[in-house]
Amino acid sequence: MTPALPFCTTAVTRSSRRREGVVRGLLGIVTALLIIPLISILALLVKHGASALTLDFLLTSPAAGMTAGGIFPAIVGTLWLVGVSLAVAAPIGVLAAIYLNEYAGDNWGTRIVNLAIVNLAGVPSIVHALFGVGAFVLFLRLGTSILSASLTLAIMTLPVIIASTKEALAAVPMSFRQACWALGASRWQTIRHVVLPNSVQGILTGVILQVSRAAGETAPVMFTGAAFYLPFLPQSVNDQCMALSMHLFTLSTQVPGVPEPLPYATALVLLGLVMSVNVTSIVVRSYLRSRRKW
Amino acid sequence: MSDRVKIEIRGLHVSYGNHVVLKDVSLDIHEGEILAIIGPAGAGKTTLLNCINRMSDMIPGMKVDGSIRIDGREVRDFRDPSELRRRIGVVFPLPVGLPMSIFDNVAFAPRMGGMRDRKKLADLVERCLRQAALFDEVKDRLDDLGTRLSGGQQQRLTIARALSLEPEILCLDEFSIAVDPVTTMKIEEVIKELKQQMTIILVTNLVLQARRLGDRTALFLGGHLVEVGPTETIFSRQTADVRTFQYVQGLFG
Amino acid sequence: MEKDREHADGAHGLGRSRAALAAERLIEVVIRICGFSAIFFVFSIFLFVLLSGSDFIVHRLNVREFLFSTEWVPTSLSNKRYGTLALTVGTFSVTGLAMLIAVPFGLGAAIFVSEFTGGKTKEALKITIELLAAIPSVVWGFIGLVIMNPLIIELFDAPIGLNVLNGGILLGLMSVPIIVSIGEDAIKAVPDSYREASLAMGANRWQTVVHVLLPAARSGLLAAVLLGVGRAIGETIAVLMATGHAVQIPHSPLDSVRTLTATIASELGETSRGSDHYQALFTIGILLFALTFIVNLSADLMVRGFRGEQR
Repeated sequence: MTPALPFCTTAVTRSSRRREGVVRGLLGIVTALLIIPLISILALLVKHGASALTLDFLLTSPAAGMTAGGIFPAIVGTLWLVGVSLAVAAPIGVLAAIYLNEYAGDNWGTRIVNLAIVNLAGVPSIVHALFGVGAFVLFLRLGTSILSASLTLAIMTLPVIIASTKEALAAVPMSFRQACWALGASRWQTIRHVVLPNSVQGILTGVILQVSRAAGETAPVMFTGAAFYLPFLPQSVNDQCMALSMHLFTLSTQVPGVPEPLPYATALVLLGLVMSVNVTSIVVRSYLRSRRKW
Repeated sequence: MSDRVKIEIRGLHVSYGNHVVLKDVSLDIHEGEILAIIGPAGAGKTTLLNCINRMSDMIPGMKVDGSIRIDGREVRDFRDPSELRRRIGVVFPLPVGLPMSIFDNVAFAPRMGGMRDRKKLADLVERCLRQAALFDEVKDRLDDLGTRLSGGQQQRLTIARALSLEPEILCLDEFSIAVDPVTTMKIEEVIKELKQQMTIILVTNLVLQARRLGDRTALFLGGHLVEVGPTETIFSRQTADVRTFQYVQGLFG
Repeated sequence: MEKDREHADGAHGLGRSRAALAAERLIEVVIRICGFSAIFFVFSIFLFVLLSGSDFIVHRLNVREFLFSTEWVPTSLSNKRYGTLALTVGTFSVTGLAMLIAVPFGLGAAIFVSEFTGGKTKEALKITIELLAAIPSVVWGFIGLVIMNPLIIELFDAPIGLNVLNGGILLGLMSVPIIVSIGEDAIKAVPDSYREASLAMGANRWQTVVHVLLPAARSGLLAAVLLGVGRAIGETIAVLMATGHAVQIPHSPLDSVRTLTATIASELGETSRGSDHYQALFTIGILLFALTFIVNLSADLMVRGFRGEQR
């Protein structure tokens, strides 16, 4: 089924070879231009913010109307949000992926589920925030709290976990399942003892991606649980919290007279957190790949 | 080989989408015999096996009509098909080692069935590996991954797994396709030994293998059961159907 | 005499306890529920946003004014107007500029990574793109504020650096990773036999790409672009910080605008619950939901198309 080719009769000429070289160079430049932003952003952030990046900064609270002090409560708040949203999203996401890959047939129901997941992934973050306000803060009367914000984040990051888990499950060869079924193992037994243990790598990747997204989101937590400034740390999921993402937003848009390094340092911490999470995922992936059992 | 009917198939009709795979098949399989099933690719031989242990349930879109009785009990009457499958051992064409230790491979089925006693499991694993003519080669490395064995070893591992539940019926589906001739010979010896304990259905594309091993032989063409009878008859000039003679002589295939 | 083997639930008299079987059935029910949960969540989102704006929609909404008037003055004391056209144009102008940047760069990078690199280089590039994708939008917005803002003012002699250009560049850079990764998948999915046939006929790699691979992968590439568009339309924080606060139709990339998303984000905190303004913002939410739904649906249909072709 090869398509018609318009150049069958010509031999490769010197000029076309040169053209290929040029094109290759252009494409290389294009790709390089993508790497440059990444590096420059990092460099600039470090340049302007490194001076404020002290241990004190990480471990103390903001002071003097946010123009001094540190970001400790924001870090703690982000950890709360990430933890609770992961605890909700991971089980639902993994089980949903198991359903899609191991139980679902090729029918309309499945197609609609897949469509719903794609759409869930595409809903703008502010619409997720609106939903969070309407459903969790108001309807379920959870108020602005870590719980409301985390539930909002969980629904928002669900597609990430579902997609990675599905991929991991699908990578397990069908022949393993068939061998197990023929031996009298039920579908669930096969999943639990053979498929899932061999999908851990992909599931972990999904979990890590979820963590990275949840830590960086601002809009969904802005109205559902994150606060501008809190004098004390949250004690339970019913409390509000501060968040790194929201703190950066606040510092750079709402607070006058902030010394220059502070927001840069905050951005560095947030970026550092997210990047290290992603790098961990990459390392874990390649480690587990080398320990593959088949 | 007794005359008692172990598996009674009546009017088996299987379709997959628009395509009819098995047409009105009726066949008796006797207890303790080796029934060889021969026929060209696509004749429905694998589908027949899938219906006997209800693996057909796991194939979406496969429609199965007709009756299959094992020891008088209709296979569809089993509420939990896993129950049925534990009594029937299956060996697939492509060797499969489960991604776990060799020991765990063989212990998998009994464990899933509820066996916990470590000593019992160890004895069972050794017994099955011996029966499958694999024990001597792996006895020092039972903790190695089953997926790292060679194709021939994996196929014998599959047999050991199948034997771990002491099935009454063993189905082998073209087991020698991906396996070297030496291993094929070894497995054929194993099959001859196992005949004393169970009923064996041997689907094979090697006509000569059927002749070597089968007590009776059945020929399938295009979803129809053309003829079944004692192997000497099938391979002689006195076949009931002329197509049998032609196929066996290699005139088509 | 007939041999009477005792067959309990399996050989060796083995059987799975009734408790184990019941537990298994239970977990399979839970699995099914989780499987369909995504549908439930999408519906809920639509429902809650719709219901929260329902009063406004039913009683106060003039659809023509809402969609086609450029006057968004919800806080006026005497004459409240809820026209979102300027906001919609704001969204599309920033998205359009973003795509102008992201599509050529993204597709170019996708082709480069897929066809012209291998081994370690490919790994390294893919990791870089992945890291680029991980940058949170608030960090991008911050970059827009502190780096791009003064840069634009200086380079273009503009009065203000928070405008369509700023937001467009940011969104472009944010959308590139999606286009690269899905685009690369699409190109990779073209069977090697196409490449081999083309090279065997004397074409070089570039010609193979243009004449053979791109046409074969076109629905996947289109899907990649559409998903990038969806991402750009839905982006909130970065554009909130970088496009300025003017509710107007831009006449040049140096004009400030306000997007639909930024409007909700900046005004929601100042409304009182249940008021018309509050509900109007939720109604914008419905509009956004509809927009991204259409874009994602189209992208999904394309992806389904290209996977079908490869079979």
